[in-house]
Amino acid sequence: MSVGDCAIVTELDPTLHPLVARRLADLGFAPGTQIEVLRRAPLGDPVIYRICGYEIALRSAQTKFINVELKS
Amino acid sequence: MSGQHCEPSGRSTTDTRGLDRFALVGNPNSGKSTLFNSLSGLRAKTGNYPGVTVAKYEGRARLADDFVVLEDLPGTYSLDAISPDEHVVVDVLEANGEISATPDGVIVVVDATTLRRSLTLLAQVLQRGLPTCVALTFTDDLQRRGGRIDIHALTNALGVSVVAVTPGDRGQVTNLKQTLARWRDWPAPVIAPPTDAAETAAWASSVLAAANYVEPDSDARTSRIDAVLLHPVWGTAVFFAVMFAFFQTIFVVAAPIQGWIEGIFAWLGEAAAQLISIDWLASFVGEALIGGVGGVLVFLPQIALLFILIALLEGSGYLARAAFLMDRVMAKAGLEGRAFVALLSSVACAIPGIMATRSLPSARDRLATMMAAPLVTCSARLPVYILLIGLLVGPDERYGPVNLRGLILFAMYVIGAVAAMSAAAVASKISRAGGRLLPFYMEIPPYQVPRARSVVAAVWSAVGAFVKKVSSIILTTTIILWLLLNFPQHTDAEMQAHGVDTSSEVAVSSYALDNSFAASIGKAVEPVFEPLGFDWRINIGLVSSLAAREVFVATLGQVAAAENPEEPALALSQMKVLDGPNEGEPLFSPATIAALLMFFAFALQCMSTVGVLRRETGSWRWPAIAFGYMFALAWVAAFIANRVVGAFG
Amino acid sequence: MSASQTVSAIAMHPEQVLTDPHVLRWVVPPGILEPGLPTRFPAPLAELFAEQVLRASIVEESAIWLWLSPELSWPVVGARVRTALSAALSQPEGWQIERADDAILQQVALEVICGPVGEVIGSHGGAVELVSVKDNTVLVSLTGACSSCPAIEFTLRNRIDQEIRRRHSRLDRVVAV
Repeated sequence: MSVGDCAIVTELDPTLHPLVARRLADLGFAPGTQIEVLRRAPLGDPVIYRICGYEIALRSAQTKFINVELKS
Repeated sequence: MSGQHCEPSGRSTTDTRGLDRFALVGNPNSGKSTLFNSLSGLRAKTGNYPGVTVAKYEGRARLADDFVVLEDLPGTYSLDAISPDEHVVVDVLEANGEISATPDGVIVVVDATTLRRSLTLLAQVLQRGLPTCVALTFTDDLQRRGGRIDIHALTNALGVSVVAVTPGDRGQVTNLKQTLARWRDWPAPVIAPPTDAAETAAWASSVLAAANYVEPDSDARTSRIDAVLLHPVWGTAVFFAVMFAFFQTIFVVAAPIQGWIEGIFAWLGEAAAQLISIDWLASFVGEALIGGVGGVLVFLPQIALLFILIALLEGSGYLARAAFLMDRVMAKAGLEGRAFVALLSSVACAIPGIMATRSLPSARDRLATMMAAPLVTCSARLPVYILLIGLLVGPDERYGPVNLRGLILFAMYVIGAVAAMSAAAVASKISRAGGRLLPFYMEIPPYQVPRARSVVAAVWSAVGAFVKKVSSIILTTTIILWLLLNFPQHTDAEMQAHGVDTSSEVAVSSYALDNSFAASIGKAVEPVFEPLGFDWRINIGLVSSLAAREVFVATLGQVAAAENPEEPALALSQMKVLDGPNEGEPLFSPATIAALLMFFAFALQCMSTVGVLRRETGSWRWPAIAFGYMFALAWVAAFIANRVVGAFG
Repeated sequence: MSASQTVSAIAMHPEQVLTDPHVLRWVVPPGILEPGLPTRFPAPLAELFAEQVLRASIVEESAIWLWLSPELSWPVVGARVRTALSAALSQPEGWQIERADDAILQQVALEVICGPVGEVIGSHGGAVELVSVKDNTVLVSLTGACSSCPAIEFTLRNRIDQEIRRRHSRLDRVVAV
């Protein structure tokens, strides 16, 4: 996803460690939640997302397990 | 009970037995620590939780009749613990392990602007069944950003008391204190919220609807500022400017203050020497006691200043942005962005750098950073480097267009940085093999004006902690070294019999040093250091540098019987090897100097650092490991340097 | 873990009713059920009634009241009731509800008057009592400071009326005796 894109979380990849999955869910990354890509760090990683009204930075090592559907 | 103006009788400031205890639970960035500070005055750290590298913050709040104890638990997003910090929260709420009792009440600090997310944590806390109330923060921000909440309706929907708290609103704080006083009457939900994730989310939606919650718009001010500060080009530029300013402030502002402190204590030491007639006592009071205390206090300007700057960065919200920009670089060393500030602080002094690791949520990262921080070239190494480089190359020698002395000094800084990052990488790998990996996530809070009270509290706590716990170690080390360097005492007769000119102070002190206990130690450890090219006289210097690295320069000056021990270069360059295959050659050959440089680059000689490591990790284990591995590293590097330079020189 | 998660969980939460500790008012999204007196429930909830765990129920527009048997307590059976209610609400066709506006209005009005509105009025030195409910009209008596208070119309209309209407939109009006 590029900066400025919005998407809806569809599911968390089942191969993700269950505790990490639970933590991401606690942070708001649950199916049905909308996320928006806000900023990317100079070297590409991490990326700041807006979710549930707050901003959070995540590394691609975690976000690759979050499946989303792009909103046009 | 007590009257209006008496203190509850018999209670010292640290006596917490018999008082009601409340635990503060909440997300990081929820305003929990600010609330803790405003309730309990100046922040107090009371050590670590048993068995883990997690800091424990406890304080007392004054209610109408009596004091209560507040425990500021580590910030957490969930009671499904995946890190030592989070396990601590669960352990306290359930009285697990070595924790003897649950708190009397729990205050869940909830940020009104991220209410939906916070309700999950609140649900989990309510399931524990302890008396609970909610402190709702950032209600002003909520309103400013177009959000709404009906607190009364929220109270009904949740079944617990909800009190709004805004920094600076005394009325609300009083309100909260009154609520705390009535903790035995706190309403509790008839049924605990659901445990299932989907059901909890549904419950939260229902509660928010009943409370007429309107989510705030994104913070326009923050978005505007971040458009610059997080811009790939401009943001990075601003970042380096801020870090440079950070750095410079330490040297420009703290250094002169340190100079004054050193000057004052030197004067005091001299005054003691003049006033006390018994020589050895005068020396003890002057050098060991006054010098020791001075050695403690000399750190205060740096620690205070660094913590003010860090508190400003953190309070304003910029620290998270800085960490975001540096995260990729730090990740290569197995660390994360927030470790950068700790390591950068270590360039001034590892002590505040190690204390700054508290901002890291992962205990594993904290430990790795603490183990690596002493490798960063600190300002105490500078006098040693300058002395040694001066002995090695002349002032005008050049390498291409660059001054050679400056180049070598720069190289030493690079070595320090690379060593620190590598050590952190290795430490991370080792601890990763043992346990689970904590996923990286960092909330980026809206920008705020830092609260003056929090900044003051942060500095007060850091300085207080340092003085209370570390000063004893510095003082002890100084006294022991004074004993080693000044005993056994020698009479004039004895010295004259050895051909010493007793009228020359320099000759006397040099003889005394050469025949002191420290010298015996120096000779005893010669086999260890001989392969590096050091002899027992250099070893005396190494022993003395355990107090503080820069002491090496003065001690060596005394050994060399230099006329001026603060500037011993000439005397040192004339020192010769006393025996063995190189007898007669200059002691400070290029090989030896290179070895010394490497040794100082890597060895953990500073007992103050050891003391801080002890305090921050809660045990002697980690400082011992740090001392050990760095000694080994220093020895090997010095050995290699000796052989390599020796082959060329 | 609830097994019936083919439908996403119904958003609901319980609130206490001030006048009676045995009843919980389960706030649910509006539009699922018509208000009235329920005569038939879907299986999970019907079971609880059959076992005499639950004794009675009324349905508001956005809430369902459930009365617990006096020997039981909510903390003990609450989770089970929640699961059953959630399942029952995902089968709205399994309910049969008899329209009974006045009975519902009676409960709602009583709750409102004893609750926050009553407190506010009380804090001004007055008292409000429910006299009767008939044909979607609520009759109240305002006493104490209220009987001579010029703000009576305002109080009636804005506070009591508004609060009751929010929960029961079929309210006609509130009248003071």
